[in-house]
Amino acid sequence: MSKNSVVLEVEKLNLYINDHHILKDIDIAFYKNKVTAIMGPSGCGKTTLIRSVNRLNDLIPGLKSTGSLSLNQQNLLELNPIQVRREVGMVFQRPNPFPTMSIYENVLAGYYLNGIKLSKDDKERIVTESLQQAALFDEVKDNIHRKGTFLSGGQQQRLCIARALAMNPKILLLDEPTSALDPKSTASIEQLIIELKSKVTIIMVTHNIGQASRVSDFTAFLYLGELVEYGPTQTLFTNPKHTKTEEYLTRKFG
Amino acid sequence: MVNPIEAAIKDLNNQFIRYCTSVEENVHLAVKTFMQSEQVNVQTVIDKEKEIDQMEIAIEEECLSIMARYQPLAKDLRFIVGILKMNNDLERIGDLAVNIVKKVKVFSENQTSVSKEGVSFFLPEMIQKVLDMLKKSLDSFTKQDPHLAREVCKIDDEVDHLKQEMKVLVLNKMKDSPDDLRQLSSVLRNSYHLERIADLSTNIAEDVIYFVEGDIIRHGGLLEK
Repeated sequence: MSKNSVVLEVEKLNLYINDHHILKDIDIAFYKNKVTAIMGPSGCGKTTLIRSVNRLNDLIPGLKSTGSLSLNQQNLLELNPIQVRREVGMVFQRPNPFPTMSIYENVLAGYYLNGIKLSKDDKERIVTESLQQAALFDEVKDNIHRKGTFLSGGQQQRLCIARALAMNPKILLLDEPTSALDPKSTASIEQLIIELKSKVTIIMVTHNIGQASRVSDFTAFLYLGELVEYGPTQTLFTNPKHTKTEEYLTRKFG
Repeated sequence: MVNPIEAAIKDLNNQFIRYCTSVEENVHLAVKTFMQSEQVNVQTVIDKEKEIDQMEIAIEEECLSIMARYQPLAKDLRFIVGILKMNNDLERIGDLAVNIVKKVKVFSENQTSVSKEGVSFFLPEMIQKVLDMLKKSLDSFTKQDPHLAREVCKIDDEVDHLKQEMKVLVLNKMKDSPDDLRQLSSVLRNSYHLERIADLSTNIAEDVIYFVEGDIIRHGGLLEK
């Protein structure tokens, strides 16, 4: 991959919480319009790494981080976190539509909460496009003013993806996006992830090794806060270079 | 606590080793039967081959079952793919053992005239090398030893060379002794069968290198590491 296709470059990222060294000298480049999966055993720092990308760790007491995360030549650690989160959307493990808002309002929540005024036409367009991109539009178009919490788990998760996409982010972070879903909803989210990469760069954390192998183009393996191996998914899953990766993939631990 | 995929792979490994042993024994019996013209063993080799076919099917089914149930990855995945390929190769080696004994009748018809003049040519030497290759390739699997597997790949050229020399000698002999044409032809055919066994042993050795190290060395890939 060429240097030009790098969207986000993490260099020498170290993160400490009090005396705990959580992330150790992480160097990793995320490529444009690719899906990158971050996998590793519990507690290896996967979630902490992607939460650093959209500055969700900032408020943890005792946190200190060094190094840089460059998004288009700007160090994310030095920007206003609100601005960062407009560029970097995030979807969490459990679907979390705002319970008091309708489907329509949920999609526009990013604009409402940022105090951005939109014309009615813009609202309609953004809602329709975002729901279409999240492959949810056809299922909800007749109930768009009902509460988002009436939807099934898989639909709620796609609504959360639509809400993130509505802000037109450069990067979409997915933190175990299907771990609370049934197999059918999981399959539809996986299909969606593959379709969405033409529009947005996706970084996903997953515990599900099979999911990483099915949907990602690149995979990073983290262990005890270190980036052990990073490369094209196909190579990493068939012929990993490091013994630790080999042991993890063959279920020797983790 | 035993990891289920580890246990399944270990069982498959043991099952495959038993299969390797059966095939190797049958090849030994086949070449001995041919060289010593022991009609009595011909049927034994053929019967054994039927058992080998059943073992091959059982191993393929086990591989599919492990893939469906455990979705093996990394070395486990290469191991299963390697077993599937080696399984095929061994089954063909089993078939070649049968082909070899099928020539016993013709070969023994007038063996004295053929062997008296040393017309077995390089057959004993070739047999020894081929059996050695087969043994080393199967040992390299059992011990998961890529160094031993690389030795197999090197012997293959020697066997090819012997086959070529034999071909020239046997064809010349055919011109001189047209009466022995059938026997000579059986010698020639069997040298081809032996050479195929050597090729298939090489394939097995290449698959061992692949599943242990992850390197594909076929078609001029890196032999040295």
